[in-house]
Amino acid sequence: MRATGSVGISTVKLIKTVSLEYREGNSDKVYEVDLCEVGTGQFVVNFRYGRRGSTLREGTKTPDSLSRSAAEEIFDNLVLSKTTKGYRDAAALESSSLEDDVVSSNDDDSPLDPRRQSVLNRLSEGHESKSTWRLSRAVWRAGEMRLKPAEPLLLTLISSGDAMLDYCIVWSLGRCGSVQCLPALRQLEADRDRPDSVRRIAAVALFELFDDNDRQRALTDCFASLPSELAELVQNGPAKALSDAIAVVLDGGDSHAFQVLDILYLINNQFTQPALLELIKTAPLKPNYFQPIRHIFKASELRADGEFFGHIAYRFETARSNFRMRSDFDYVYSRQAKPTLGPHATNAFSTQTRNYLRRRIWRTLQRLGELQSADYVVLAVGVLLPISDNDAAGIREESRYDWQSGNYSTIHFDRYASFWAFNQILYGNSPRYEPDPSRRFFQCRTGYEPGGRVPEEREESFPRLWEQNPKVVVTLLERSCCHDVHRFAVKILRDCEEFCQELHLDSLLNFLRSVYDVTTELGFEIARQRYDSDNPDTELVLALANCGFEPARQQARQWITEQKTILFKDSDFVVALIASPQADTREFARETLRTVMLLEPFAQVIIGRLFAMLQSLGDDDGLIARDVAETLLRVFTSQLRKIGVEVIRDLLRHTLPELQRFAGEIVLTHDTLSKRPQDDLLQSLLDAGHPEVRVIGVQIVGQLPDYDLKNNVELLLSLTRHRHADIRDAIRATVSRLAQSDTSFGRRIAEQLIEALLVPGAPEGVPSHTARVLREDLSEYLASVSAATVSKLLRSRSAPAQDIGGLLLPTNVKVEDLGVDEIVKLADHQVLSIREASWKMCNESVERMCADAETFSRMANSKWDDSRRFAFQFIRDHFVEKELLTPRVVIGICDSIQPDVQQFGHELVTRVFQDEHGEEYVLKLSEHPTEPMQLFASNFLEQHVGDSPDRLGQLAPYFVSVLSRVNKGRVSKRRAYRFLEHEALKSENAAEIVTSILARQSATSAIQDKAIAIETMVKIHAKWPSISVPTRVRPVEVRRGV
Amino acid sequence: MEFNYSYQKDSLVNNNASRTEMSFAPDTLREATFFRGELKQNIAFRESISALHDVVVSDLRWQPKDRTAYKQWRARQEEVDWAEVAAQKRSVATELKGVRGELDELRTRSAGRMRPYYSARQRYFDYIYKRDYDAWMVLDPVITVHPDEVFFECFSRDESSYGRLSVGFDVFQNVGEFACGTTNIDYSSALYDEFQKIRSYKATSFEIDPSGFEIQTAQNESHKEVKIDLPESWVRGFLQVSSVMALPAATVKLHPMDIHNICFILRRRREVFGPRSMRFQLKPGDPVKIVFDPWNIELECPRSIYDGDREEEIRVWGRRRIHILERLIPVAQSFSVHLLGKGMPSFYTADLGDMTFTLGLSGWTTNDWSSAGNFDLLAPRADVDNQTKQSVFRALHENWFATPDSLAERLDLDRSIVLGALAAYTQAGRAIWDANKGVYRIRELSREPLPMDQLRFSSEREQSATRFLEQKAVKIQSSFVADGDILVLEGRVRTEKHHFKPSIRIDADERIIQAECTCNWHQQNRLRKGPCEHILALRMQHARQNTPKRLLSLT
Repeated sequence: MRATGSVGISTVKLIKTVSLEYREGNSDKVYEVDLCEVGTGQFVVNFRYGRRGSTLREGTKTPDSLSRSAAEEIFDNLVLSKTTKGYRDAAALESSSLEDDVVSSNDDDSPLDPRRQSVLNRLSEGHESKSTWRLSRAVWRAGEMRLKPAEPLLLTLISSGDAMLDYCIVWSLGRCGSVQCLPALRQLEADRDRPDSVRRIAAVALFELFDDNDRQRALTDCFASLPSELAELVQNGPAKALSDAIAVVLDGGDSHAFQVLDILYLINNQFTQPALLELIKTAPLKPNYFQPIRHIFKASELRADGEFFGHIAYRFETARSNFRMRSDFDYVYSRQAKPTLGPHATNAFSTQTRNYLRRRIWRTLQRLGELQSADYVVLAVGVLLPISDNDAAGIREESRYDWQSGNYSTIHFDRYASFWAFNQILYGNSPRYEPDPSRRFFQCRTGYEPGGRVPEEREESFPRLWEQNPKVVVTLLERSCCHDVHRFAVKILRDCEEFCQELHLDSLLNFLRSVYDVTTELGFEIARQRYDSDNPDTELVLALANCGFEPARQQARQWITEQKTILFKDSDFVVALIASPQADTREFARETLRTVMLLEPFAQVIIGRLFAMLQSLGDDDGLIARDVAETLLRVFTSQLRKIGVEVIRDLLRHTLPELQRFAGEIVLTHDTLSKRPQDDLLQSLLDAGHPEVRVIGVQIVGQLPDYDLKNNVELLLSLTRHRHADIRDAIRATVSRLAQSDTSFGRRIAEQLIEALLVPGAPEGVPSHTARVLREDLSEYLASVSAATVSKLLRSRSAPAQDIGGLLLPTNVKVEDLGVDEIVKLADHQVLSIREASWKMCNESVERMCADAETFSRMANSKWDDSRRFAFQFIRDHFVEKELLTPRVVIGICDSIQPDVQQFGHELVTRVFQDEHGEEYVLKLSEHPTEPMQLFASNFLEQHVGDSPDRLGQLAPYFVSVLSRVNKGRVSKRRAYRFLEHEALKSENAAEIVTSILARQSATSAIQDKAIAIETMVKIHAKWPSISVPTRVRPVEVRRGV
Repeated sequence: MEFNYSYQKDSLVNNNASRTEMSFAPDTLREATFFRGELKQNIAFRESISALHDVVVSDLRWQPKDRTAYKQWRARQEEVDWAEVAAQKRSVATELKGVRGELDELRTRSAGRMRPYYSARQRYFDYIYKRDYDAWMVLDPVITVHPDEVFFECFSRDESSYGRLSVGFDVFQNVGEFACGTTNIDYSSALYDEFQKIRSYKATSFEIDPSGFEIQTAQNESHKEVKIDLPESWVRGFLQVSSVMALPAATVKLHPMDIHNICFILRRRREVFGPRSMRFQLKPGDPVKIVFDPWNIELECPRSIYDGDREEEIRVWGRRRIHILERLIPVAQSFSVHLLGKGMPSFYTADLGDMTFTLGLSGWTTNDWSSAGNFDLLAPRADVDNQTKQSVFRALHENWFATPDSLAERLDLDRSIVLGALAAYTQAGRAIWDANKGVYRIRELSREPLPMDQLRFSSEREQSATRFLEQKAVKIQSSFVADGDILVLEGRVRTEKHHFKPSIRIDADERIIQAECTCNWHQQNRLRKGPCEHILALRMQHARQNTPKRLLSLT
């Protein structure tokens, strides 16, 4: 309270003044009211208002001075009107912030608090007031404030006939009442004429106010009212069975059956609580479920039960609404709306309901916060805890059009934008986020984008309330699974230094175990202050070494190194360090342990406990298993060499491949087992599902004594042809080594592999691997493979077998043993090496090839380009004497339908052509079906067919064929027509043959051909009139022109 | 529909300068069928078996052009174009020109460096293509040995052409032991190449190898198991074409040069617009006249006089398939053409002396839904009970082939009943009509009988359309020709509960180009899954009204 001078109005004496302030968002205003005595018995009320720090605007409520009582009334009314608008007494705020020990100021019902006073005033006015402040609201407010003095006033207001008012009164009594109001509440609860809502809330209120005896009695009543199948479970549990039983009771039940939920919430013991929560988390927000859930929501609000309040709030935030209520303004014909209320509701949880409830959650919290009520923190924690990282949506942005400026602006939404209360709690005073205009989401303020810099300062609403309740914040850190919540909570705890120093060790360890770096970092800071190097706390050091925060682990490692003699005496510590969830800690443990002398009994203890730990690992702990196994192998080498076979078997039975591999590695270095592994061990290693394990199995095989291995060719063979590629690859070196050391063994295994190669049906990859081993490792031992086997290989359908056949062909098969036809056949083989071998053989025995030119010439017809080219060149080079290339051979080559072979045939014909063979050539080549060969044959017509009607007769099919070609072979056709005409005019015999050909061909519609045919026939007829031709001479039509 | 074969070895043709030995490997899973003989008419056999090969590989369905290369170029060019648009300033343009020159050079260099890789890759693809060419064959040809002839049958990949080569025993000399029956033979494209080396001056032996039936060893390495999954439409097409051979048709005898002239006209022109049909104008006593649409070219065949008793014009489509006959022109003595009617299958038979080559063509090259709903070729043609059917079949089996008259006489049955039974077996793929000799022959298309109930209709909709027709529930309300030659049909289909109003527009190639129906199925699917049953029924009703009179009695 201070005296302020006022201009314009002469102030004589300041009686009292109130300075109010209003802070919310960007607004920070003050409102000061003075009551002054301007003259004796003359009082005025003046006020000043405006932004803090700016020049305040002044005014007065009293144009004329008044009596003191009248002025005081105006003064109080003014203050009240301002406080109801959200202004708060600056002096009261200052005083409350000084009181650290006071958890909240809600119990502070000092008569000086005008807000509480005004509530009391309104209540005392009752129904008769002209105030616009509705009575039911004032009643509710009293409940929110837990305003004890209001109880008698409230009791007088009961049963005014207004159900809503009764509801509010009961609600308020539940929060601020005492034993005095029990009879009234009981009466309400028992009165069947009251609405259900009032009776229900009365029951909740009663439970809040009961002492132990009363409660016990009421509980007994509750148990009695439950269905028999639930009553027993509710009292004795377990919760799971209760949960199932509830589901059975509710399944198919009507709305009446669902009332058990209300009763269960009343009971609220250790069995009903989890069962109900389970139901709330999963129940559909549909009729019969939704209503009791909503009742519980209201009841939890009364009880300030954060857990239920929060979980139901979470459902409202995340569940989709079931339908949308039509508003009155929809220009849509709508049928009779389906009932959403009452026992016969068909629908529930509309979009509007959802929005209302979401807003209500925050409004409840906000009002409590404004009242500085500790309930705020409790309910807020309840709201925050169910929200986890999984609820984070993707960040999104939206383009928004501003009608005034005509511009678009981009609005960003962060990951939790859709959670209204969550954002209000965490970011109510944030420089980053603000509510969006529809007040349903939070959006980023201009200048901030999701993922941007996080401000240092605190961003939550009602920061002071949080500071006053650091224990709740610790709970939040221990239980929340949401990164944003952790960041928020850590910031609060940073501001509570003293509390942190006193923090319980368990909480500190929990901080360090957290998966969120912000939390572990805080834990690390506290731990560092707390560490006593002379007397290190193993638990703390271990927690630091296992935590997810890298600098903390570094610190822990340093401390361990400094104090390892003390710390490593604790076997729990050592085991936990070796099996740390952090990879670098595990490695550090391994390295450090190697520098420490461990006594044998102590080492045995550690080994025993580590093996037990390994057995308990799950499927996701492969990395830990691998590191622990490595530590064991390195640090406890000597102990593992003598370890019992049963332990190894246990490891092999484990599903983790790392452990199976570890078992294999133990066997590998074991004193006795490595030389003589038990069959079942080896077999299960070789058959393991994981390649790493199998490879160890093969390594064990590889280090068996050579003598044993050589006697067990079967094993080596089966491993070389194993269906798993890694095993095949792993055993390869062993086989190669053994073969090199013992030639007879090499020969034996090579032979068996070749035998195996000829058997069809091997798994994929095996034949090619076998071929590779034979070619690359065992090629020296293949000399004894017989020629028969080689030809078997070559004929095989499998490509790898053919490959090996090709490899052995030049060395194991003598050229003399093969016939020319066989060599020619090899040149047609699809494997290049075989074709090459065949060419090589040809080059080695040129005489034999020349002696059987006809057979060899077939190579020129090979389907392989390279073999053909070789054959062409070979013939050109070696078949120089014309006698070798008889017409039979040459025509055999020409018979091909491949153009390049035909061309080569032409080349040969021109090279070796002798006149005496001309007739043979023309007769035989004329039968060729392709057009180019027919054209080639036409070259010989004049010379070798002319003047011989017999040959002409033989060639008639040829001419028909050439002349019948459709729209091609122009040159051949012209030659044929010319030749035919020429011959026909030579002799009558020829003319007859020619006429028969032309008679057939003259039916063509190709004008040129038809003309030639007719012309020739006319000529023939002119020369040999005895030959009949199918032409008829029509007299030329004579037209008489002018 | 899966078909399994097992061959003892590959079919082989051994060629040397003086001999050609053809040895076909038969399917060992079927009844033992073998034959051995030496050919006399080598060249004619070569040409006709090559024509048969042409049928096997024939695929005239429309193939979309491969435009990937163009699209790549287009995408690149688009970038360039846009860059050009963007480069409005001259300086940028000149800079761009320089950079583009550089880029072009880089591309040329890159192309040069990549060329060996691409060509090697192409060669590899060619190799793979050649090696796996047999996978392109759909169904190995079927060989049937009968006491008087051996015949080969095959069906094309595009499900539209049927080829049959029957070789009388007179073509062979030294006919050895043989066993009658039908079998599939192992066939590959390499065989075709070897066939080309048949010459008249080389002794040519022909055998369907009996050795395969001698011993069945379990796991012989050379044993070849073939599994073919044939589309049902393929089998249906085969049965449809082969079963209509026995139907009465207008027959025209053509001179070989007439076929030459048909091919000549088709080779010299390329149609861009429809209709792509050939119209046979037949007038008793006059030369056959063939008109080619859309050019209206008239081909008169002065040496081929039509000797039928009615004047008619028959339109056929899918004329490019006639090119299969080209190789037969020089060796054929004459061709006869059997025309069933407009848009119906047609048959071309080449008379090669002791051999006959039959080419059967379905109504259109593509048998898709646009031409569906025509004459139901697999409809049962006479009501004959099962026992009678079986007795007729057993009687036919005794001699492997018989004329219907002799069968009727032997079994003392009415001729029409015998014909009905034989038609049913023909439709089931178990017998065929040999028009050349006028006999029915036993020919089991597959080892197991074909599931006829699955094969008759291509879809359930076709089946219910047929039902509508049987119930006489379809009525054509109007049919008129619009826009030149578009036939518009409107009608009504009455079902128990509803009336539907389908309408169709059919173009000059007899394709449905537009269709509407008031039924739900059509509203939902339009023509994406083919026409609905009501549209089909309307189409069928129209087709039925326009069916040639000689076929009417059969339906």
